[in-house]
Amino acid sequence: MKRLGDFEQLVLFAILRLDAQAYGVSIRLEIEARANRSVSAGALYTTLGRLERRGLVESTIGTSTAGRGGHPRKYYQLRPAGARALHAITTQLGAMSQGQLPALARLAERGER
Amino acid sequence: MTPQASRPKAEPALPWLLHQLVRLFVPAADRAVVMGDMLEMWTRRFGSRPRGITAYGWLVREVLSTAVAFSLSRFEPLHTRNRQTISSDGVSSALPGSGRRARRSSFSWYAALSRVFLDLRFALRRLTRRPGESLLAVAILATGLGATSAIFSVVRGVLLEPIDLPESEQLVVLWTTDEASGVSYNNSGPNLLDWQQRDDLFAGLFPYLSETVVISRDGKRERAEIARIGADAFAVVGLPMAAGRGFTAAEEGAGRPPTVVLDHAFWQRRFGGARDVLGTLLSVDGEPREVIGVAAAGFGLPQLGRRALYLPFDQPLDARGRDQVWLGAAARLQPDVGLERAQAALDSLHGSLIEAHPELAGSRVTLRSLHEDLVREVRAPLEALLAGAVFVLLLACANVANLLLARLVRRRGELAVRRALGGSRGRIVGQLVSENTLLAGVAAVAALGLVGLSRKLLAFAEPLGVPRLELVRLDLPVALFTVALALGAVMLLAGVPLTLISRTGVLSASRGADARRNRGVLPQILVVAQVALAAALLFGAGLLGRSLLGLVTMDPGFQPARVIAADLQLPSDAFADRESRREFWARLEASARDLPGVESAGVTLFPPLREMRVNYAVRLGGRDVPPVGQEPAADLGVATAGSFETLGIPLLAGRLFAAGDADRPPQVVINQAMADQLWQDGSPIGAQLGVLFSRDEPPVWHEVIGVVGNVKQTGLDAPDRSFFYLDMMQRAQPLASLLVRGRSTSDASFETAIAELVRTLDPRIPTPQLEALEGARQRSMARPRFIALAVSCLAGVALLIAFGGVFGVLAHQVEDCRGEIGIRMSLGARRGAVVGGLLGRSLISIAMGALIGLAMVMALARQFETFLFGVRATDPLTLLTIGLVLVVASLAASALPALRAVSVSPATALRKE
Repeated sequence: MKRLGDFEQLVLFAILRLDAQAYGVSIRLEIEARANRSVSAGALYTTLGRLERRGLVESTIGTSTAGRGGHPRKYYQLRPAGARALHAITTQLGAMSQGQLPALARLAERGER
Repeated sequence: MTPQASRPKAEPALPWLLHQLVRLFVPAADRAVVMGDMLEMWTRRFGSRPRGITAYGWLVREVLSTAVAFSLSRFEPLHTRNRQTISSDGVSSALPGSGRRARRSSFSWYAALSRVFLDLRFALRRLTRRPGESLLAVAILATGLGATSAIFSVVRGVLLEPIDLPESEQLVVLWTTDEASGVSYNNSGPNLLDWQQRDDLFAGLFPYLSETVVISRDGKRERAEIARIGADAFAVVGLPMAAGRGFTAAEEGAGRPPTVVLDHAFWQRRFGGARDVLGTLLSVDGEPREVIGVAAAGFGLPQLGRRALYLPFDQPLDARGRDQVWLGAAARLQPDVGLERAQAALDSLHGSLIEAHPELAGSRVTLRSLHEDLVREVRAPLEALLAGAVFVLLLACANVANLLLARLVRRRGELAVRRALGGSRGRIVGQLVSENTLLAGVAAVAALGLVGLSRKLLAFAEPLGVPRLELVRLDLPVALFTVALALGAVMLLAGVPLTLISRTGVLSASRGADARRNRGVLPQILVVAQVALAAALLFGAGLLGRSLLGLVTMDPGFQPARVIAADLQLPSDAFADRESRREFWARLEASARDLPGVESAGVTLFPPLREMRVNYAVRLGGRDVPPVGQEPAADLGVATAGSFETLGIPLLAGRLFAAGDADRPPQVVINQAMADQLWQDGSPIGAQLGVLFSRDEPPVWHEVIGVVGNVKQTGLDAPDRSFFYLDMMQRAQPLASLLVRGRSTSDASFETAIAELVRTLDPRIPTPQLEALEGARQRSMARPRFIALAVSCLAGVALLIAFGGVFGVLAHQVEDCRGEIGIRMSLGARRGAVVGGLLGRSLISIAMGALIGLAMVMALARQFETFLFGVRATDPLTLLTIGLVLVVASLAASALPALRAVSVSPATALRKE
């Protein structure tokens, strides 16, 4: 099982949340809205390409859509391997982070001073 | 792919430039999706009608970020090859558009193509990473490609393009050749009539003869170059008449109605292409002739050049004997007869003719295709130049190969990593080959630019006597040739990565001593090859240069400076009898001498260096008559005493013609070569010389009254031939040249004065053509000068490239040995010893290269000597000098890196290790 980078995790979660509506723009907006971090187009395409190569997601090209120059969308879906990898890392993180968030916040605030 | 046409008007679109950027960097399979995402995002952010700097700034950033991302993931782009296998089967059927599906069905092709494309794009990035080195490689390759293609474009136009006449490959010309000297002459009438009988060989055969006449019409007189041609000429050449008809057999021979056929260009120029010229009269040399036709545009023989008029032969061809060669002959072979068969048949015919006519002994008949006859003199030089250019190209390849090798060794780390990460050997080689392809491609484009430039240089080649230069073009075949050469170069250069990859060594990320070994002997071999090729070209240039020097400094036997020749033709109607011509020439010479600024004047039949020869058999008084065919022969000149003085030809014995000689028995002045040949023992003065003007008549006896110096009559590189001068006052030819030597170097008023003088003496004589003899001398050297110059240019370029090659390789070696040198220096080695060691190593390759180059010249010596005059291809002085120049130049190239190596402090050098 290969490791997942943090941005890869964000992308995978975005695809998961968007269900059947995950494509370039929606994934990007989802991450920007929820994770509150800006996403560059280049980074997103690189990551999507890598995930697809690794067999973690798959894609289908949609029909031509209005509002985007008549160009089609490319929809992404999690493959079982992707789901397993995301599940694994999230469980690990969840297990390790359980109850530790207040302590983390305290430490972080002290570091600011 | 995207339904652009059906797009509603409100749809957003990328500005053109950004669109192109996306197209350039994003693979086709992802392009639509990426553009769609980009536009959708843009609209979401900035509304449906985005405006303003912020909106466009955002878009630019977006495009750039995307471009960078796709460039970086170049090797495994989004549309990975193995996606098909990974993704679910439903994918393909879900794709819209038949085009997409079609592409999928030929997916392997697409993958292969896109891989090549990606390789090329990666190669571009690699090459632009070190722009200086890449530019150097391109420049070197382009020089080699450009030189070769430029010369090829000339070779193609001049040597390969067929003559523009119908089925011109069946057209031939015939010459009677002197077997001993190989010199070709015209043909005799009786022989020609015999050939005409052979309709098993020839579909038609006609005689031709060029003449200069005076045409007059409406009171205007002009000199015109015309030709007499046999009636068959129009059928043989095979072009339909532009108007009227050609000659028939009824027009040939004496006493027939006088007719004339106009040349097309002359018709256009002089008559404006008017058809009513047919049936009118045109006075040719005072004889009115009826215009019966106009030849087709393009009619004629390249051998004849442009003619204004064509006349039929008005005397029977067998009026002169078999040994009188005065007729050109051209023919069309029967469709099923080849050149060799016709030649064999003519050989056997001529053999039987020699048995019946012993005066033909020592001659043979030579058949040549029209085209070959025209270009055979420039064929060898052009082919030699092409060979020289190919040498430069090979040299350039060797040099660039070394550059690439060095680059490859530098990149061994990267290559090893790629190999370790699973990059297949083929994939890596493919990548390297694509770098070479890109280099060669750019070089080919640059080379075509050079070819275009070289066409401007052709203007300088124009007066060099290279025929058909107007056919030299930069067109598709030349471009294809260049591309083919570039492909060849890629093949050669591809050898470098292949050799290296096949040895696994270079792929290990080893450093230091290992790396040095990995570089192997290949660079040395390439240096030897470069030096050898440059040496061969340099030797060639040196020999040609010496040969040219010989021509320039050679004494032509006369003083051309300040002498002007005016060619005159006396109209035969106005000067019918010899007495009137004699009186005119005498008056002309005397009045020319009285012109202001004139030092001396004379009249002669052929001014020197005109490549005109009339050759007669001669007999000596008081000696046995040799058998027919073995008589000595000599060239004829006709001159006044003043012409010897004007030309500065020295009198060596006896006297020149004098006033009052005209009424004496015939006299002759001979040249030194003739005296040496025929009067080895004793003085020729007072001896009798019989000239056989015609076989059927007894010789005309002349008393030898003087011996003059040899003159280069037919060309500077011609050998000294036996030559005799008859007295102009006795012969009084209608055609001759007035020679005038001026007092000061340049006097243009002179030329108008001569024209004016001729007009006052007799207005019926057409305005003469003037030529400075110095110009003729220069022209006579033009071709050797051109060849020497061209080869010198090639050799110079070769030397420069080879110099750079030697420098580069030694510089890399020194780089590799820095540590070793540092150790030796810190252990107390003297600088001189270290530098000497490095130079010695390089000297071995240089000497080997020079020797191989010398061997190449020796091997080609025989072919090469045809271009040389007065110097042998094995001339030791030249070869030694050039060899020394080469070695010194190469050592100079080596000295710089060697000195740099020892100037670095040992500590620094060791630290690098």
